[in-house]
Amino acid sequence: MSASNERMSVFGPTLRFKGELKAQEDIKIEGRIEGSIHHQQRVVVGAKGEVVATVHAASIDVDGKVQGDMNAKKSIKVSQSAIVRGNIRAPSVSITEGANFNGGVTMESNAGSQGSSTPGASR
Amino acid sequence: MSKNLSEPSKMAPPPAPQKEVATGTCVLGPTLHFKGELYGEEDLEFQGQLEGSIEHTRSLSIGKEGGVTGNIKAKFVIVEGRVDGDIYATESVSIRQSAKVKGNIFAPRVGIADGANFSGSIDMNHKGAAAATRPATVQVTLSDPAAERLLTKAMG
Repeated sequence: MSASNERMSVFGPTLRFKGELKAQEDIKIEGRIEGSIHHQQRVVVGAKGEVVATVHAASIDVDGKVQGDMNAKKSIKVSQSAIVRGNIRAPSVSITEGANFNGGVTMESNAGSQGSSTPGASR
Repeated sequence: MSKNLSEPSKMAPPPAPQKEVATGTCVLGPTLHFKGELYGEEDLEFQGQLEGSIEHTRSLSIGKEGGVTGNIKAKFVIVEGRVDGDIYATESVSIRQSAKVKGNIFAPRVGIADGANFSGSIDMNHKGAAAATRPATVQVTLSDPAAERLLTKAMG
């Protein structure tokens, strides 16, 4: 009975969007988004979701495909079915075994925003 | 041969395997701000703000809190919110009481509720609206091998 589930918007599987998306509520992406996402809350990239964009949010859960950098104020979860190509930055990051992830991981809050210039952070 | 015969069935509209439940309608909430182009092939209720264009093959409803600045193309359009731009529908457009619409409407059937705010023109004989959401398919009888070869060549 989580209240967040009721308020969550779902960006359906046949929807395609190209451009800038801004929001202040939880959203689940099952469609395709190209461009950028600026979010204040939780973003869930569903199993059918495809995101080719830089994503900013409070927390990000990835079950689908993401191509681009992800920045979260709280946490990023990359689940088993996820395919991620890009750098991720968040105070807490989890990657489930079986996930396909290529990119750098920076575990620090967004305060140190200059960190993106450090090469090969994950190695 | 029998394979060729089954081929034209692919031209038929795509099957709808999804259960038509109420939860199937996709709702985009009031705090969402889109800037760009949105395409969709499922029923959509839009409560957010969009600057740009929407191209939809099914029913689209702009909710009370929804606002669109740009053109809308869909099969059915229901407006309860604000639209600044032209609306093209292949079936119908329904402007509800709470709606504020500034722009032109192109659809075979148009309804405007008493109390709605609408300024613009209405065209019920617009052919372009119907063509807009229909994909341009090349109609060739696939039983004709020569035509089929030509088609595959053109596509390849």
